[in-house]
Amino acid sequence: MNGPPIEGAPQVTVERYDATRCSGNPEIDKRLCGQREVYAVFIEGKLAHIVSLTREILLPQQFGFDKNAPVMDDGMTMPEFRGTRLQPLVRRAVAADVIARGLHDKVYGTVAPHDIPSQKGNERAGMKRAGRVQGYRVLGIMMFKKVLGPESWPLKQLKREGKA
Amino acid sequence: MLGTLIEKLRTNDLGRIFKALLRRTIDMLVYVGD
Repeated sequence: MNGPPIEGAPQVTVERYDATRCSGNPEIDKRLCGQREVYAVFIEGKLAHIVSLTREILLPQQFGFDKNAPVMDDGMTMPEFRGTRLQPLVRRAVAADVIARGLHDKVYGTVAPHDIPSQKGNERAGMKRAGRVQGYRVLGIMMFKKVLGPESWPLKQLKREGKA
Repeated sequence: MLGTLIEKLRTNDLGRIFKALLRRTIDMLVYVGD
């Protein structure tokens, strides 16, 4: 195991791959390009979850967020492991690994507003909502940029309304 | 005529690519872990 240990889940192992160290698993290796790293989570040897860590996603920094912080992206739990609350464990472990390796003191994650499970996972992982970004990308140029506050899409209110 | 052309573009892959290039709405929540 070269990735971070998962606290309280000894059966879970994490491997970290990058372009210089492929896994041999096409599901993992297809995500490896440029500076991108992929954290692959295994449970009893089976691939259970994948999440990428990259500085190539410019979305947060285009809206004024810290341009040096890496972004967690493209997370996916394999169908047979869905509902096991693996995502919060992994997100927490990846954030801790980024800090422990001295890459940065924080990590970003972006989630679509309609993706309620990922929002819940992030909040269970102890991640805080930094804001909601909106705009139009026209021919690669970001226009009409708007950064709304963290409560612009209140999960608690959605839960009360039975939508989350 | 124009309506037909727009409809063709809308249902055509090339049209979709063109549309995606021309304008893409961004709406994302940003989370931070530290």
